[in-house]
Amino acid sequence: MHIHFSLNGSAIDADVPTSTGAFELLRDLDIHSVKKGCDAEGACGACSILLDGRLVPSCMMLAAQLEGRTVETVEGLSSGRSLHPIQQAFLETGIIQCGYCTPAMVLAVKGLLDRIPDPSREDVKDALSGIYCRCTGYEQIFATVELARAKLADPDATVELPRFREDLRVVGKSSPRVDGPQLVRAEPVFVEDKVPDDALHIKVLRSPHAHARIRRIDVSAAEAVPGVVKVLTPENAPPVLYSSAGQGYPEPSPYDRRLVDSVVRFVGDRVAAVAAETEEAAVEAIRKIEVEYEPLEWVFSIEQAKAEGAPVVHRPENVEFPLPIHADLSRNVAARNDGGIGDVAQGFAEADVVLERSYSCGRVHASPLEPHIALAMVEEGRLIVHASTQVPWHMRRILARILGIKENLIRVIKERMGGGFGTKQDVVVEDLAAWFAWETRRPCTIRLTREEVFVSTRQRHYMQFNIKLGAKRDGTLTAIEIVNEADTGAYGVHCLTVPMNACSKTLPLYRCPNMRFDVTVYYTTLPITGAYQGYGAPQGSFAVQTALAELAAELDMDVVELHRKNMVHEGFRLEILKCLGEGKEGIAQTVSSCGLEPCLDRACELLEWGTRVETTEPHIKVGKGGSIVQQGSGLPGIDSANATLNMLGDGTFMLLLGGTDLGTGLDTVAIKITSEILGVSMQDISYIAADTDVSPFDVGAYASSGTYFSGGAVFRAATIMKTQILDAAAELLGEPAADLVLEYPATVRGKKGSMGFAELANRTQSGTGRGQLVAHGAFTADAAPIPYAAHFAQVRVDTRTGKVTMDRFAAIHDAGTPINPELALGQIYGGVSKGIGHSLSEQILFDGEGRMQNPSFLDYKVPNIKDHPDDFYAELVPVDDPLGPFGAKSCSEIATNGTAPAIAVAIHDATGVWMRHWPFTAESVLAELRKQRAEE
Amino acid sequence: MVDQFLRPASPGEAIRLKKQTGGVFLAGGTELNWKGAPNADTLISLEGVDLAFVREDTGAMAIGPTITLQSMADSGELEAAGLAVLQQAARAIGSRPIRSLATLGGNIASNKSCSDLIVPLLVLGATLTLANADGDRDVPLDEYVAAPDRNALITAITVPVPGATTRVSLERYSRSANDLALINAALALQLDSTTIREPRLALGGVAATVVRVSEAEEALSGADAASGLDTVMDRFAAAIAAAIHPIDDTRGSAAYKTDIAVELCRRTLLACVAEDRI
Repeated sequence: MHIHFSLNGSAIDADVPTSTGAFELLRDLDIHSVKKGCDAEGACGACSILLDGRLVPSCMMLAAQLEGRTVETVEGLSSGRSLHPIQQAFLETGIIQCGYCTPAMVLAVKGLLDRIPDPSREDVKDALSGIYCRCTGYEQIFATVELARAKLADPDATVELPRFREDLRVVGKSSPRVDGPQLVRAEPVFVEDKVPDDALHIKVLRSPHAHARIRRIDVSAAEAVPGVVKVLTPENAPPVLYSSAGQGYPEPSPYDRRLVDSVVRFVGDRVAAVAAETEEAAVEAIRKIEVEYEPLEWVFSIEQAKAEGAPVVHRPENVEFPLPIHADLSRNVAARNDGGIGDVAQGFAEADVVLERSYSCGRVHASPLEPHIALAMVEEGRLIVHASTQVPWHMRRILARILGIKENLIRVIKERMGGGFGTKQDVVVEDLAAWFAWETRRPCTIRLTREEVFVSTRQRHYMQFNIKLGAKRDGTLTAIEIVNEADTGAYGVHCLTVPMNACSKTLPLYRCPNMRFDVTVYYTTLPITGAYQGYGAPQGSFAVQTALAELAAELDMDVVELHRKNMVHEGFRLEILKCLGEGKEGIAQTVSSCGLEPCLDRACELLEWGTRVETTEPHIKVGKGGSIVQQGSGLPGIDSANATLNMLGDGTFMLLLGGTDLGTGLDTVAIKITSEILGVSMQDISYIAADTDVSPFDVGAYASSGTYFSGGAVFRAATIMKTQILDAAAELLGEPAADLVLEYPATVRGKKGSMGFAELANRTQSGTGRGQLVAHGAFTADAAPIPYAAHFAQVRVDTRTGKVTMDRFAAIHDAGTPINPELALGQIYGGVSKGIGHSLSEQILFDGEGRMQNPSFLDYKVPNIKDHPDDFYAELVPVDDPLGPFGAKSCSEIATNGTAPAIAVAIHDATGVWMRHWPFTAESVLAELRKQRAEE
Repeated sequence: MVDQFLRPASPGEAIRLKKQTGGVFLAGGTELNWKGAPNADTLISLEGVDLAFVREDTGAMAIGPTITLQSMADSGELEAAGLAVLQQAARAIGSRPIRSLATLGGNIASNKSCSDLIVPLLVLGATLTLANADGDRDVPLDEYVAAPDRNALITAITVPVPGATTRVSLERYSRSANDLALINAALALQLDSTTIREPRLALGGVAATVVRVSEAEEALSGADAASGLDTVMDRFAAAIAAAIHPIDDTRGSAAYKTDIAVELCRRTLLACVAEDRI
């Protein structure tokens, strides 16, 4: 049918099948701003358009419903190189992270300001209420709307943002993220925007059984479906064992899977896959694959996994271990480790009070808005993979192993990523795209549905803890013991390291002389778990911090005083880190700087710690809780990063960076460090990050390594470039290098003369010059700065429903020198936001047969803007660190660590009940309150 | 697969096309287009059918079925007529973009278990005007909810304007701000001095459709709001708990839903008889 409508001011006459969706039509019309984050359920808002001025989800409309209407998208807001004032405002406040929801947010703000020129905070919440953003925690949108209003009146209007290090020009100051303009314009920068029309579409047949052997598989009917090009089954799959975990090689993860295997180990596991000319043909072919399963016994819990005679999930002949992780496959133990310092038995004997408590943490999902997607093709005999990945180099290595080819034949190009948070630290879909492309020599693409993202990517580990604390009457800790049992699911990606991190990011917070940890990880026949922001630290923090609050209550002591009495400080030697390695011995280190005291001071001040909030309604109780947390800044002794800086012919620079910005702002960090050291404008530095053909090696973006490792490599490259510039200028100016300084903008100044970088570049690159200035910075480290934070919550508990509402939250962080303060704050808001969701509304639920029951945003409730506290403070305390570039530390994962214990302690403060299972759903809180009433 | 997309310009034409084609009426599309194009050969779009009104109709307000929930939420006419509870109900749907597409008629015709609109409309005594090729007829909403007529077009929703003695209250509970209601409850009653008359209680999320809870209404009828509410409350709560049979699902256990239903009903009663409203 013909449909006529106005699209960004142009008259459109489209001829489409009647069933065509409005979203599909707009994508066909090259509107890249509309995205699909849910399964056309109106649940994420990424597909939003302005329809006659009103924000609506285009996924819920047929194209026919656009007839005669006016459609606006962000493509219509900016013309040429200029941006609309609202887009400009988005660039300046830190509200853009991955950028996948940014176009929808921009339209929401436009719709709002067209309707209400002077909106209230409630109006802003209402305008954004249909948009899911996992990155930002929404908070900076309020300032963005204010700034947009101001810019509509005066384009030069600015907003006040925090500043650090007045001695530096760009570092510590806020500046728009370098990839911001392309994101706010919705340029075609994501993998989905690169898929050529002739690409084959891959669909996966997934197991309906939690555990089964495939007896027979018949693909003849599937192969007969018109358009089907290739079918993958256990019979033609490469017999290669591998781990999908993107970790430093050799990995502390077992090689326990094949591309597709003859045994399926969870509901949703791969059985077969099809590549076809169209998605519809692939879906139809999948339906026509006949499989005969021999059901095997299930293992759905740690208790079942370790029971005598339990079904074995993995047989030894099907698993290889690159590193010893002490697995015992006959008992479903994927990995284990224990260790400690001092003598905990003696520590407990010396204690006046010994407290022992059990805690557990349910499974949740990171749920990046961009579903997992990959595009692979063969060009000039080489495999090219366009990926939304945190680990391009690990991916190249893993794909080489699977395909049985060398790494030189593979190129991985990391595109802009629509969020990752750890779930894209694995080779989750790229293995299939690569195999099909290599086999068919055709471009092949795979894009998971939201349901597939939930069940088949990586969930967060279930963990159960036994925490034992010993303390003197005055609160001095004498012993800490953590026993952690974790469920890794069907495959052991990150199986040792995530549960270990629950210990290695909690024990080093305290000066206790006797500490012990004991970690055991079990295979089950549930979906795969893996990396997710915090990487075990959120679970560990919940258990340890809540236990410490319980201890404080037992000692009749303020929990903040208990922390202050025992927490580490600058200069403290962390011997415990020696035992907390990743598949090998760790490295002890000294706390290089520590902002815990000022973080606690500020959090207490903001939340008026020590005062009670009374309510007029007797069933509403208000309470406050606090926690202290830490993370790392990459993995000393394991991680490494590289950067190459080339001076171009006019004195500008090209930075080749291995680091992978997944929305976190790493690219901006890199450009700012370079700009600061070389005294050049940020605009005069371009970059490629990351393309394995062009950028040098980097382990990737995980373990909060970006600023310290990738940024450290850039710092070195820029410092080496500075030396080269000074040396070259010394020759050309005839002055000793020691007399020369770099001066902004792009000038070498000596005592006698000076030279701009443009002239320097021209002369060094000329036939008589020393050659192009090229600097390579490599970064490894045996110590890394530790970021710290205090997270405090004030909650409101409805004791008749169990519902917990966030009143206030303060996240006060020591991130060293924040390279980009506004982006660092955005990381914090986003991390806390996830923690709020994981605490109050999110939980993965399985039925009795291992099927995930809520794999959609309608049933798995991620928080939206209205679920956030009205008083939401993120602040950075000034701390200078001697290790990081310009004193910077990491500032991303840590922000998810403190929310749960802060809320748990606040619930106790309000009601007197301890929530020892995370999440604290209203139903579980009400059950605990009833238990308490029954006991009284 | 949708083969035909028809665009009638009037209710009459829409009804004619319905008879001719057996097609499905499409308004905003948030129900029918959920997870892709609907499984229907013919769609009859109500976009060109001018039924997005709010107007007075002798002691009642008549609301057009194609009014969006956002327009309802913004409607000054409803507020002026003492029907702010309907604005509150429309606003309860957490996502503004959804409210901007979804319509009142679509919400009613979908007849969902936890319909935010049906719950208050039932206690307000709303009537639907249903039109088909044989003509118009008025049907109480209770009847429609029990046995929806899929062949008819809803052409108006008529809601009696609450009188001076009428008290209405609406409560909703959901896990997060833009979740469906886990439970929603509305209570309307007449206060004859301090005596409760003609209580009407509706609950969503406890059965396949929104339900009235007559046992609980009986427990309230004739009670004195100024004294002895404690005993009434106990009987009221017990009647609710006994009458409803919600299911266990991922959003909550049956037991929890029952608890919440009782609690929300209790709150509606307290709100209706709150001192400043007596």
